[in-house]
Amino acid sequence: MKRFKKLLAVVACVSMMSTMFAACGSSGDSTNSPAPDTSASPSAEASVAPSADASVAPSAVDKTAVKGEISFWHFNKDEGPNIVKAFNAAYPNVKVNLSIVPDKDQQYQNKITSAIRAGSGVPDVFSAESAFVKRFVEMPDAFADLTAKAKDVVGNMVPYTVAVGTDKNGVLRALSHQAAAGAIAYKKAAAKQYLGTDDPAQIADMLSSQDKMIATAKTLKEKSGGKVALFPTFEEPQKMYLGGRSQGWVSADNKLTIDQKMLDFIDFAKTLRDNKYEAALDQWSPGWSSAIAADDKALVWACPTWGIPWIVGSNDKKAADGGRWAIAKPPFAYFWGGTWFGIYSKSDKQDLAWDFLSQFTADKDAMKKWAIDNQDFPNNLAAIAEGSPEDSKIVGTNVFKFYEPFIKDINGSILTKYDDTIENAFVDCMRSYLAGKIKTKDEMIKTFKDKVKTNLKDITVE
Amino acid sequence: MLNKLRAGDKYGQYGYIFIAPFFLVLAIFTIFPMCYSLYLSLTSWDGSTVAPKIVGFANYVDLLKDDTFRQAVANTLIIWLSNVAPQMICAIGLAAILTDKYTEIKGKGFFRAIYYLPNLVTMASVGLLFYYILDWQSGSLNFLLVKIHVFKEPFNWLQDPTATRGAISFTLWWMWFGYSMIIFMAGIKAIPEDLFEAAHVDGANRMQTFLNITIPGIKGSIMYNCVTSVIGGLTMFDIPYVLTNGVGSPLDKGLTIVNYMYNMTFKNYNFGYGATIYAGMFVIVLIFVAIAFKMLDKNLATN
Repeated sequence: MKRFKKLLAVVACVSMMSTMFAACGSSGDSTNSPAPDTSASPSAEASVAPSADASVAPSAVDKTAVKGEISFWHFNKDEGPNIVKAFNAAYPNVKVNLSIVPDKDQQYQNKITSAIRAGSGVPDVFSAESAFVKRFVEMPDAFADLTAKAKDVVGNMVPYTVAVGTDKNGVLRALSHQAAAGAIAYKKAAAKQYLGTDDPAQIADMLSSQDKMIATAKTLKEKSGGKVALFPTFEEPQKMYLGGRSQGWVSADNKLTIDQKMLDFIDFAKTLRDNKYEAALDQWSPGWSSAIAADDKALVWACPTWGIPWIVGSNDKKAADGGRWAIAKPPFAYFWGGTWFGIYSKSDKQDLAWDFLSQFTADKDAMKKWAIDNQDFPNNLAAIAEGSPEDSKIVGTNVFKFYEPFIKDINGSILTKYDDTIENAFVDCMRSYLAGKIKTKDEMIKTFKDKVKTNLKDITVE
Repeated sequence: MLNKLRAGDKYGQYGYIFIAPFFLVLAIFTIFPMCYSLYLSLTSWDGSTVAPKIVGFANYVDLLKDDTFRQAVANTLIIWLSNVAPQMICAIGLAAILTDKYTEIKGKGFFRAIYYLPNLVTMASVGLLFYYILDWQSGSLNFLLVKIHVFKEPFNWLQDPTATRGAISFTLWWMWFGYSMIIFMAGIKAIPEDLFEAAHVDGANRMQTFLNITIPGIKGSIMYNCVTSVIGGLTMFDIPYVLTNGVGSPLDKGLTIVNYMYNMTFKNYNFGYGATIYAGMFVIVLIFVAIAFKMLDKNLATN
């Protein structure tokens, strides 16, 4: 008996400590779902097939006459309520039951996934961030097919956002209300002083290729006496190079593919680091933030549409006075971030959900108003073509007009559901390579491949 | 109900009702997830809507051949050992000083609270704090060391395997020595006062008192601290997670077992293999705890 008790004590002790970590997500099929009970039972599949009738055109109906109730999940506590508010301004008689689940430790994703698996408690509409949207787009039973419903409106969307929302069989499943196109933001005073110009066209030209960027970085370093680096971190140009790829990390037959752009980037980043052309800060670190507010330190930041208020504006308090920052065309078209939305495939309110979704992803006026109210950039070519109603104070330019010429060049088809893990591994290897811990480029690539192989067992690494 | 009891009633059985809630909670939140994880370790599953596919022991075969897993086990042991030794020494030393009757330290209560304070802060916050202090280009540690001319150039702490592991150990030490200290203080308080007095009268110096009375007197506390630190150390997660960018950088040298399991399961969506890593960790922790219990047992027997 004594022996048994001891054994019991050991087992209980170990199990309690170790399951604290192991248990948290794998089985936690939480029952306290805050969403109202709008679930469609798995058997009620009658409404799943997307109807191809044309009655869905949002402009044709009287929006105040539409009544009903739908549920909507979002991971962002700022954006979620604003979307509902904007929607209710047009559809006052539709009740949207919003619940916000932050995606800390994949909590949001796990909650949705387990709800879909259980077939109950799934919201009619839910959002997905660029980091995991592909996972839900490719996941069976998650998002409904929007191809037929959206056929009249996709042509007016920025093409890359549609490519991201399309699964590998070409079925459209998620739409975005914003286009997170990338540009480069630079400090005007430093550019003028050390490069002789602060004109966006000339700056864009100075940074239009790898060789030109290196030459510009050299000039900048020499003229400023080493006070100003071209980039705060290698992760800024990495965003652009990632966008400049012609193929994604994982090919259609599930093979790891390292695009030529990334091979170029490895050399480029090494040159930057070895010559102190980048300030070796970590993206999002306090040093990086304070470098944005500083007059020197670094010149150029990767800046998507949302970065104007949230990277430049929120870190440099003086930016809103104007004249400190400008934006220029990036060397390679890219996008960074963004949120997509889709309708649950087995929701029994497909039409109402589409009214909701199309209101903020396809209605030009609503989208334009949204963009102005939220300092956002609409995913609507007609709205973009009309230009922003007023110039941005921070970068002193008409933001819609500025992005319009190159927004269509962005390649959305290179996004895969593995990108997050692969890019984390890539950055880890890059940091070691740049710090000199990995000696050669070949070794760096080999280490990177090994890491991908360890982490992603279902893709082939050669 | 109780006043109806007569002599000969087995009223002891009512005790089971009182302890039932604990076992119910244990069953739901611990035993079931454990069994479920073991089941998952026999499957291949990406956590999505497609049901898990049974693959037998394939995951376990992979685990035995997995260099990263071995690396994670080694990292965890290195970080744990280099944390637990200084932590115990510091805690015992401070506890002895703070409870010493014959040295009246001013503000004892203040120091006790100060040393314990770091333990009250959330792990992730502490991790982030140290991450920023150790930042290569803009961290305050490098700033200080360059200013006082210890280093010419800022040192890239978190790209150096030894420095990274050292930083994790140090952070854990900073957080936990106060906690161990409190337990040792309680242990010392439990030693009969007359022993110290007798030693004092006999002319024993502080070191002799410490080695011959304090240490033997708190053997139980030492063992308790060791056992809890085995479990806590082998399952460490938050601090290494934050200090290594969540991926165990540089190049897996800062990857702990739980970090590896977490990344495999929740970042790479490989729930089957994640559960297998969990099973591997379970076995390792079981072995270590069994050893610790054995020692504890022997120790209590000799006392």
